[in-house]
Amino acid sequence: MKRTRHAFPGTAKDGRPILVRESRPSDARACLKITIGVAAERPRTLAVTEGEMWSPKQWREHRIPWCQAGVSLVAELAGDVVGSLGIMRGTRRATQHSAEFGIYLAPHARGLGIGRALIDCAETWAREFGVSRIALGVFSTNDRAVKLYEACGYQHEGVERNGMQLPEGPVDVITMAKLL
Amino acid sequence: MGPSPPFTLRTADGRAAALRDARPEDARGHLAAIRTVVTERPRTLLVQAEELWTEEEFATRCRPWGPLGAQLEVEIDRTIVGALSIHRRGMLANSHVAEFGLFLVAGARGIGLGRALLAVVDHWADAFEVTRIEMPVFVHNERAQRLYRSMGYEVEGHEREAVKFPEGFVDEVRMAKLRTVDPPR
Repeated sequence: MKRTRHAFPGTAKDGRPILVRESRPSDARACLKITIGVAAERPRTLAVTEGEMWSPKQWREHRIPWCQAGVSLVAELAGDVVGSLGIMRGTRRATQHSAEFGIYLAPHARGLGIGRALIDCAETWAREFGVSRIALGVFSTNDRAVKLYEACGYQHEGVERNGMQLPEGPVDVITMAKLL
Repeated sequence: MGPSPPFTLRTADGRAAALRDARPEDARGHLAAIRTVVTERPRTLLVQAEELWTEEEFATRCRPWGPLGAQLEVEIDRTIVGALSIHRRGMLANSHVAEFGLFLVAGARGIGLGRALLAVVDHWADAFEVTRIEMPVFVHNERAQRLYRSMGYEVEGHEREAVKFPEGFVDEVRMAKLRTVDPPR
């Protein structure tokens, strides 16, 4: 068993074990399979569309180890990777205190507290590196995610009209943030 | 307005101004101009003096007017007094969106150049079928917010502590404008 330094065990609402950890290069195929499944759902919850999915090689190149710039996390449910969260901090001097994340979960892994566990872990990363603001964007049609973010302490900061142009049409993007 | 730069105009105080593509040889003049703005207080720019581009970096950022964006310099009497950068977003789902940033040195404000630059942004957006233009502005920069509002931008959000300077946090107002693309005839 490969040792992972940043790994946070927990228990899902149905009693199964969950593990949130820093991703590894070998998570590429599992993460891409989930992404493709989630991107095919309607209404959409992801900005990534058909035709721009990463290859496993691109996924490994974009993966961020637990470091100052950010981190790519995965969540395991009973040993299987079921979701991921990527967080990156700003790159300018005046925005390095701020980070933004994106998250997805396989449909069968929702409603079990795994999203919250991923967000908790991202906040642990943020505190370790002195990040004091975490922001995100979420489609206005994704009530479920908005409720989760609210429950985690994220506040509404605005609405970007037609912020995304999906193949089905434009969608507004709600912006939310939490100050740590 | 012609189809692409340079654009020329007369300022409110009667001087001839040119808005033209940035060239590598503008590096020195551009950096001298922006340096006067980043040292102003209260601040109006995100960039800080310590992270301004070098002349070599500037040369590599001279994006010509095109579908991915533009980098224009504002010139009066052969002196650079300001600049405008436009960047289009890169995903399929947000390639209809562009963000811009601009600055004018103190002596080039209040003579219609900001308004002229915003008209250039609209012109660029229409040329390349960008339907959403957005930008952040510091909450205390009411002068810029008034200008943007007068050009059709609306406040879409207020980001708490979005920016952190050595002297403290600043909130940002997010503003955006939607444009419609005429259907092809």
